[in-house]
Amino acid sequence: MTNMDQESSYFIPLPPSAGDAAPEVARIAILNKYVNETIGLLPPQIRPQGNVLDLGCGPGAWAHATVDTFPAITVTGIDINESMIAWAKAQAYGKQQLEFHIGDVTKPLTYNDETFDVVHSRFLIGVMSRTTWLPLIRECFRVTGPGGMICLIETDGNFVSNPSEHAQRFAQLVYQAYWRAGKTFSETQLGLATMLEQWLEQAGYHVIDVQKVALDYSFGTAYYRPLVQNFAAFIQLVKPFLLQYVPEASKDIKELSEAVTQEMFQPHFKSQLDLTSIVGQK
Amino acid sequence: MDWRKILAEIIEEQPTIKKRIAEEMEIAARTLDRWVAGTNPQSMQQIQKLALAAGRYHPDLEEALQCAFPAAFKEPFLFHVLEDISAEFYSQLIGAYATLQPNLKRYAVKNLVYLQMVRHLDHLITGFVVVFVQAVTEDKCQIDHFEVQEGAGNTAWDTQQVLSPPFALAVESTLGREILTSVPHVMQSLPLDTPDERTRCLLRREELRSLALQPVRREGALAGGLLCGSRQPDFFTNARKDLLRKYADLFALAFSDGDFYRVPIV
Repeated sequence: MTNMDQESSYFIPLPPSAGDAAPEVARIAILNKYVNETIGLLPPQIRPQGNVLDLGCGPGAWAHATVDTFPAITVTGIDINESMIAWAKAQAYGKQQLEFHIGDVTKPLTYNDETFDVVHSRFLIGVMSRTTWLPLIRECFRVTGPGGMICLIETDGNFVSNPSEHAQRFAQLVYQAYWRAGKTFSETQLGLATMLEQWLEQAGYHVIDVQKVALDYSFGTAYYRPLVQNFAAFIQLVKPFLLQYVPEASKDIKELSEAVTQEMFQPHFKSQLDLTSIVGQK
Repeated sequence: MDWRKILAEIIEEQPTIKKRIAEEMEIAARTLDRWVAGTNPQSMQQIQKLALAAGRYHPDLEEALQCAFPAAFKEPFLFHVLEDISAEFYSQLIGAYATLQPNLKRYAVKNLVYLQMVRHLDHLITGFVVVFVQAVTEDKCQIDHFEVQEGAGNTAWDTQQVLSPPFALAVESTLGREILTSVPHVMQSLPLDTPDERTRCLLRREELRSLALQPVRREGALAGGLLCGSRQPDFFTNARKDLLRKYADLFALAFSDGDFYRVPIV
């Protein structure tokens, strides 16, 4: 069992070997393609111009799509993982609007005050903990210029609509592991999205929009084929995290992950990824 | 300066330069003579290719061509020298091939190759799509049919092609027969009014102007072929064809030995 207040690193182990990180690089890149399509690259309140900081940029899927779509934007992406940054850089092909650096979002940002017009992030739930969110958002406030914006996109989980007992039990193990790893505020749900509004206001932002969108990838839907494979990869990759934080369920974890993976390819499979987008202004 | 005079200077200086330029542009050497004599290149892409292939021999040629053909340089410049596949990317894929379990390996390798090749081959984002046409066998002895799998692309093909369902293709189809030859095929100028039969597995096929088919092989056995389409005519330059061959070799890492079949040489 872990100390609930300890700081945590990324929930999927990313070994130094670039090859072993490849599935997670692929998973995030593909997932972000469809999140981009579902929720859009930028909310309408944010003008598509200026200097943007992309926190936890991963393999750069959002950053690349954004500069391709909005030529007036420059993006600085930071991520703690070298493989992710290497991948993001390898796709840049000399584009001047992009920079990628190694950076740890759980520590003070290394940028001067008021450097950026916009701060953006997606799915930092995988890397942040209960104690690191508010300091990060305060840092975002510091590095954002007057009138600057912040846009955070997080999830309240998968398998929301799935009636399967296996899927429900697997989801519970994920929530439990996240909670024990110090990342969330409840053992039975992720519940992060509801905290974001509070943290933004505590940091000094004025919250101007909250949007909730469901990315439905149930069997037969348009997104089923690419995202069911994506989620099958997630189930394999998250197992070490589950075994670390819910060791008493180690036998369940193996059986459930196999059962859920099989169910995902059956016609009765239902699932959606709940996304929350929150926009604040300085 | 007159671009014809500059071109004449370049090709008369050394016969080998003339031959080299013609080979790179995939034209006959006498075509360069005809241009010096007064005819014009036939397309915007040819003008771009000339600027790239011959421009390195004279500093004023590209500017002279831009003055003579300004419209050609408003088009996306498709013929910039393309970098080779990065060592970092090779290392990622070889590492994945060596260490990952089969399901994760297939998922990671296929998707990473797709993402990388779309961005690399079409870095100007002019419109590109790639799908994998996989050999399928019933009895492990001979290829029964092909299945067009999910792929990747940009612009209108960014997610749409991936979302289209698998598509079965007969061995006797034009595309099927070409894959079975185990050699690359390229069509640089698809007809505008009648979409090519090979493209019927691709969405928005009426927009495609160039097509390439690259077999995916390992040690002489065939897993299928990567079918690529572009909105630009003459898209598959020698550099792109070479990259496509290399990406197909990397794509082959996604598959196990059982996915490859020996094809009789006819």
